[in-house]
Amino acid sequence: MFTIFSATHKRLLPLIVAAFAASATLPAGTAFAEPKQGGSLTSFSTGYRTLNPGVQSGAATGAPGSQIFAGLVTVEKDYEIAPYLAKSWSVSDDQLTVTFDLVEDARFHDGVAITGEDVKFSLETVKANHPFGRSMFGSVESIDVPEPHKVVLNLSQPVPGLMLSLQPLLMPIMPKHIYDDGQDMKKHPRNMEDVVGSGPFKVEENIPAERLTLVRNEDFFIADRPYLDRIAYPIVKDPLTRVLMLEKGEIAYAPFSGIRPNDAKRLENVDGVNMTTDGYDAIGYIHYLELNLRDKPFSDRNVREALAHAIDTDFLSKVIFGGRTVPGTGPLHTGNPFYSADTPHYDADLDKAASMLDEAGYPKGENGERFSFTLDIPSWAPQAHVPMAEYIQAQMAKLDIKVELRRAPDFGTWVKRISSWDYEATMNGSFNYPDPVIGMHRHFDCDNIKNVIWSNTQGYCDPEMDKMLDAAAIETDFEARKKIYADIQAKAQQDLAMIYMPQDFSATVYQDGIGNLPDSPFGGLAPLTNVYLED
Amino acid sequence: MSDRATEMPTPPALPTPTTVPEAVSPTRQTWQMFYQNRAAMLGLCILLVIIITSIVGPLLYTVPPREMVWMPLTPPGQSEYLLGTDYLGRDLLAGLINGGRVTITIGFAAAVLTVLIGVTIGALAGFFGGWVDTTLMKVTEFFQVLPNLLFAMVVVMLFSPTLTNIAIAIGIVSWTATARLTRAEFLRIREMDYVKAERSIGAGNSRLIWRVILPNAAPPLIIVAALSIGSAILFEAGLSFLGLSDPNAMSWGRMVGDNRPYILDSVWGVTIPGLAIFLTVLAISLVGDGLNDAINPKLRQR
Repeated sequence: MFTIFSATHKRLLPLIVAAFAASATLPAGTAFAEPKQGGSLTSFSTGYRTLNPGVQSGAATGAPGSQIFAGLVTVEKDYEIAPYLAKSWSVSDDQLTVTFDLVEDARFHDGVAITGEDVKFSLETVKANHPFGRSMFGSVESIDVPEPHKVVLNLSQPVPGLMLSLQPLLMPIMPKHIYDDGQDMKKHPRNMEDVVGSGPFKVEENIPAERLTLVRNEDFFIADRPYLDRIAYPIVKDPLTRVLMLEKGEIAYAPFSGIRPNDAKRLENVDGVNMTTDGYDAIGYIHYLELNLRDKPFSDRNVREALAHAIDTDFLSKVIFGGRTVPGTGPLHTGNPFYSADTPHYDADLDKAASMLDEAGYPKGENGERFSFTLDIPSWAPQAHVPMAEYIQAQMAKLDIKVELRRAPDFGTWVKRISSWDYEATMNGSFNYPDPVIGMHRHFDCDNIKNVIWSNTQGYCDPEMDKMLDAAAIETDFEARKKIYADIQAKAQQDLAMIYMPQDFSATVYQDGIGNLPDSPFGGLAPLTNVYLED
Repeated sequence: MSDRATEMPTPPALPTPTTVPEAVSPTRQTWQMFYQNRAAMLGLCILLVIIITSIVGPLLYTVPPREMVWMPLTPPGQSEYLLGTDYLGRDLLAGLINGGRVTITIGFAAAVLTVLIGVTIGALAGFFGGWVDTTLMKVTEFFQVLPNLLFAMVVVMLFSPTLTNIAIAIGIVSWTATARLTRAEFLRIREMDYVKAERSIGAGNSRLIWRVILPNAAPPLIIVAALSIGSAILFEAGLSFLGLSDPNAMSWGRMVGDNRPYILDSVWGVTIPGLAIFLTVLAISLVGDGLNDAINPKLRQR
């Protein structure tokens, strides 16, 4: 019996029907051009440490990783879950047992058959090694493989977002016969050399810091797929170089292009080059000002509210980011299925901010300052964080608060400072991922106040919030769950655990003539199985 | 140079020149030489304008350099902000006026450090010779073969990019030329009769180095010091271009570096501070050359 598991489906069904109705009216030739075999697609990479998305999150590993590895399912348009390596699945009535039937003739790139044991091994590996492994699969108590092509997951409590986590980006199917040799998975040499995957493309050449070339997997389990013969990922770190290459057509397809809003305007004017901000909903890249809530003055909520009144995120998104981003209203990205706009809003009002600071016990001192703090700027998203930080510095100066900016020279330095809680304030950003349990709970859960980056490093803890998070994690009814998350978002914004900045300007730049670009909410991090080149 | 050197032996035919220095003091003579050098005077004028603007400018033009005052990336002449705005909508003119202070201060600080290290090492090596010389020159050679920019980047990255650290980084990578020059001068002067005379009446090493030889080695060192201000400013700009600038201080180099990602849409954002750097360094070079001509006694007769 084919039962669709995910609760999101109940909401999505009307949407799917609507989508089919809409596509039927599209002029023939655009949506239904006959896909053709062959051709080479040039993308790019900013550099990666591993090609195995099972042990590393992020776009640099994920973009090629989702091509090299297959998952149990894929996530299609509007969060629709589609069969991939699992041809069907069923869920018990108590939502605690999920049974997958696997495609029978699927093989790894080295020719070895993919079985339930590999799925079991992969899930256990991800659970133990992936940064979100625990939040995704913490409730998976045991995995049975009753038949070679049947896998049963036994859950300790319902996991509403389970299916979303089973696509290749978050749970790639890895070859047990290669990786199960006792070595540390995170540092396993086969993550970079001689990678044996299960997906539509095989690694032909991997020269770190130079280029990665993937070629068609002739033995892929979906007949006549993929269409492309080859995907090339030259390493292009410098954003300006990337813009020029996109302009000249040297990069044909650039998800997570890292361009700035002003570059977008420029690229839109180039013939044959297109830009879209679609395909980032599932990733949900948000930015925020993180304040260390352990120490004065930021332990005082009124001080944080004063800051929120002084920082006009509308201005940032409309002027500094050219109207191409939207201000964050809470911990969830506008593209998230559980997003709620109904959260407290703090109007831009410097006078109010100043009087709030006076009342909170921070009047202007003898040196003309109320207080001063150091604002850390991480190294990994300067195009977003530097303008934000400089804007905050200028706004704080108007409130007589002195802000010292400190730019981290490299990722490690920043991670060390923040994860050891040795900071006052930092610009930060994180990915929501489609299920808030993965991307959002980590920032608010009292149990997650850890010396780990992108955990609850700011030290926020509220029993009421914890209760709501726990309830939302196991609520299987979509609408009920959505309501809990609306309360959570309002509560987060009410407590000002973080001050939300404009969402990221994430854009995909692509040339004319590429058909079937993924319309999954995962965008360029979804498998490019159906992508083809037009004549 | 060689033809001038061969001209030198002719003066003995002239009347004894012992009275000449008394007629015109060396300082005055130097100034006259400098004054007659048009290029040098031009350089001096530019430099004075820049320095005066940097000192009094922020008092007269009070737009805060870090405030977002207008639409980002506005070209020059299209708003009340004469030179346009940068990627955050900050006034470029205000940045230019305020950035001058920082840029010139870093230039001077780094030059002072360069000269201090260079002269000390060069003086010790040149004066003592022997193993001191060998060791110090090995150290100098070591620093000479290090890629300057890379080494400075490492220093700045290790100790966070603050103005002090940047000045120190520039200082410790650029002292080698000064050291070699000082050493050469010391090697030459320490054999002079007046040094021997001073030593014979019991002068100690430190007096010989600092009071006797150094003042006589000064002219070329002054020129090197002047020129090293220029190269320090360029160096700072280079570091800023690579993103290694003090985020809390507006400098010209940082303006170039900050606006670099927007260069395709805003040429002025990098050109204007770039021109300011260019003019300052040019002015310093002209003054340095003028000083060279004026101080070097061998060129005076021209």
